[in-house]
Amino acid sequence: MSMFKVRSLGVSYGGVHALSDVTLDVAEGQLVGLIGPNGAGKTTFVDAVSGLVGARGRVELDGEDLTGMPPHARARRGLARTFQSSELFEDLTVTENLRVTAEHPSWVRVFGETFGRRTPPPSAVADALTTLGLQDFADASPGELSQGQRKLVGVARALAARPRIICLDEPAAGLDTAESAELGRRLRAVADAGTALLLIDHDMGLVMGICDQLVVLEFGKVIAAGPPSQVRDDPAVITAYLGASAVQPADAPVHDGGTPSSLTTGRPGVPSSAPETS
Amino acid sequence: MSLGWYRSFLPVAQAYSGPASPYWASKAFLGLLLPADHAVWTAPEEPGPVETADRCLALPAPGWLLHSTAADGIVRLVNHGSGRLPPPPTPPQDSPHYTRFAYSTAAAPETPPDDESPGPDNHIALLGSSGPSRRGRIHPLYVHGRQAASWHTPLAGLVIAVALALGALYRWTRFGLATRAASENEQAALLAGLSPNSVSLANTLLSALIAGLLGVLAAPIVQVDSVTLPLQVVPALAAALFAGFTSLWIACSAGILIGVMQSVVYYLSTQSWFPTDNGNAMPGLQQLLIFILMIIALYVKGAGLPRRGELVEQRLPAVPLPDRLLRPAVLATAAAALALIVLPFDFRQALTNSLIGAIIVLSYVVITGYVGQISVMQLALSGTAGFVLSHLATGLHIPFPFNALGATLLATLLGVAAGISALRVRGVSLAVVTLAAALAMEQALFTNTSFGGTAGVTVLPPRLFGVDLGPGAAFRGLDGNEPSPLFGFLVLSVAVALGLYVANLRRTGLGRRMLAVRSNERAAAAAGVNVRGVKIAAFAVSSFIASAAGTLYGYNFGSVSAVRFTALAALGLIGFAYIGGITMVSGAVIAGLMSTEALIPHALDKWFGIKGSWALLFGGISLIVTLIANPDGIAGANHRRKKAKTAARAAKTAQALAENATSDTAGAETAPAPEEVAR
Repeated sequence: MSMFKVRSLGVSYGGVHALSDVTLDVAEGQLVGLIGPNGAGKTTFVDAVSGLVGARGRVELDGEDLTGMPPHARARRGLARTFQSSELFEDLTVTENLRVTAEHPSWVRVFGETFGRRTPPPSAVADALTTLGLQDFADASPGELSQGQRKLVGVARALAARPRIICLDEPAAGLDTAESAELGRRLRAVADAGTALLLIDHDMGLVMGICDQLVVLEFGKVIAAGPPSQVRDDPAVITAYLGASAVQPADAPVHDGGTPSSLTTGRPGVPSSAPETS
Repeated sequence: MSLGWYRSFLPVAQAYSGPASPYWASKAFLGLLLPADHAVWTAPEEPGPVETADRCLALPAPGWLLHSTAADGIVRLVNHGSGRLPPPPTPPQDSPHYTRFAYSTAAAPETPPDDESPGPDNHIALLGSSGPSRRGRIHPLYVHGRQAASWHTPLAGLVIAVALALGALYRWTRFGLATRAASENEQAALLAGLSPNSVSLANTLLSALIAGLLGVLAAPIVQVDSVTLPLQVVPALAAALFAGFTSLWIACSAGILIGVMQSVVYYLSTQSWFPTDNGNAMPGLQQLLIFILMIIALYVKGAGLPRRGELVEQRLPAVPLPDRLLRPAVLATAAAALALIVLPFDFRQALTNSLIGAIIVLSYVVITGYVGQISVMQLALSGTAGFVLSHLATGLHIPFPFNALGATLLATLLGVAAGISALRVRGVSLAVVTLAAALAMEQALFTNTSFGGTAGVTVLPPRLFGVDLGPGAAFRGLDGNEPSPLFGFLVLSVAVALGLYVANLRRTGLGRRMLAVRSNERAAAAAGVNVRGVKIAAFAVSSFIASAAGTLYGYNFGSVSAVRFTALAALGLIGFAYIGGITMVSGAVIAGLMSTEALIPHALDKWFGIKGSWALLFGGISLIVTLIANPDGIAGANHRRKKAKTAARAAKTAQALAENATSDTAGAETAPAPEEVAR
């Protein structure tokens, strides 16, 4: 029984269909990868489910219909997300960043707080920092962190809300291979602890290695879905990544890691100069 | 010949002169050359065409329709062709004598009093509060039978020409391309070999040139004083908002339409049914109209959250977490309390003014410093609270402190309402909207004699259990003069309470959410922060603080008057807030000390004879210096220096420790590097 359901999601900018009829399910504790070439609509998908972009279709979490709710209401019901460029709160320390997502006090408590009542950070903050290995940076300001650390803080911030599902928008971009692998282990642990994850990334090693399911988007449409082993042999996927001429039936060389060489190097065949804006 | 008809009368004179004029005039005497038996002198007089029948003569060449009526003998000329202008491409010039729609033998041209240039007359004009627009070049269409037609553009036509020229410049020239590139992405432009700084400088110069040109052109038709022309920026900004600050075409059309609507409101206000205030038309409706237009524009164009990739300009100083609150608060309070007793009366007054100014700036710390929303209406809210206080205390006899509290709450409601209407706006646009709101309040509320009035309304001194707490209280300080230190204490206690509240706010969850909204509204919403709720809370808190200051203003001077709460004064105060440090309570205190009639200007005046307007100039210059050299403001710079000093001290201690350790263990590797300890 899937906990997070997206049905026929569609987003149009003027006459351009950025997303059309995308349907996707994530079960509790599942790690689902969402991949596709640049401009396929992956970030738009996350923007749409998190409510930052108006969309057609239906988004459901734990049986509750989130369609039409503002972003903060979706977040409080357990739908967290990270951003491609971290988008940390630059004026707050790392702990404070996490506290913003972890605390949603009643107005009465807010009133009490402003008159001097001090509250300790909720335990979710420390837990999230530990999970991502960020204990040493608790009091740092985001400006002092490296790009990779900022990404991790972004994930920790989403995790601090103790969400049901986190949509991760390219958490490994800017991380080196070792860091990426480390992130993969930590994400797998998060998923195994019960939080569902929807992972968008171009690092095929990471995606293929840790995901239970993959969904492939191209030009705003789902072109393939299924377990990684099945998706990586899908001719439509290889066409999307490498172009039609690259499809040579059934002879994609397979490495020990279980990924076809054509998909291990990130984004072959796609001009890498223009990262998607966020 | 004199310059006039019967006598010298300059208003009918034309601004040209030529040596041929006397010869031209002497043509009148040519008839004397005819011999005495010429028909001119001998033929019997016949009735003129005017006396026998009604006539109508079409003169297509000059674009005239000439007609006369026999009954009254009057000849009329309808002008649809002739001005005094040479044909295009000569730029249109104003020439009211020659561009009238109609002339007649029975009507003299309307002329202004001596020594003034002739005013516009007899054409269709846009009426502004300060006079009609001029008629531009006449373009004849046709003259036929009993009909004549022409078209013209009022002086606004020039605006369209400027807009077209600018549009062409930015669209088709290399300079335009460079500008668009630099405004989209400075770094990329830099890499492409453009210099964003010189591009920006050139654009700044161009905009200054255009603004100056319009000033020159507008000067004859609007009042030229220190307020009217600068405040024309508000309707202009409204047009720019419609255009999203990017489309010349929309800006130009919206500007003209707003001008037309203002003219219509002005015309309606001359009608007998129009609501009046003390015999005059109800004030402030034009400003209210502009505010409403802005709200509509922004509601349509704005979004609850910034869109993905949308540029949100954000250059606000950091908001340090206050380490200690109580000690600095107690020290400052003690110093101020002592000063309120021992200082001479004029300095006591200046200190009280400083404290009230600091309270208003505290409201900026919340709304601008913490939430990043620039609101110009805070001072107008203070004024509203002051006027309401006068009504509650004098009119309804509500006792202190309930009257002050009631006035504060009512003005807060107004602030929250204005804030809610601007929730979809941020950054510069919000500054513009709140400026329009401030102007609307100033004109519609403060100058309305039934609510406020420039003459001022009285505010009774605060009295608690029969004890006067106002500036005229019995306890008079060391020199025995007014204002009473008691009132100073009242102001001080309010200032300290609100200052502590604002400083503490930074430590609370609400404060963190405010800063989250300031950093990144989209990320904040995705993190579960109710962005609208946080903004409303911020508007409420800052409006409350500003309104509380307004009631203190009222008590301070015993009266409230519109002149103290103008939009221009508000802009000055924001400037001081930036200089002081808009994100910190200590910055608010510094800004308060610099504000109008506060300690620093008073001291400058008293000791060095530097008057208030010079102080304002000084403030303006130091604002520019601050923004360039020290964007965190004075308080922010202090904080950073202190932090650096603490870090340096820690490093020194660590080094000393390390040295000790090294000498103790004689070169053992256990001593941590000093830098490591300093961290």
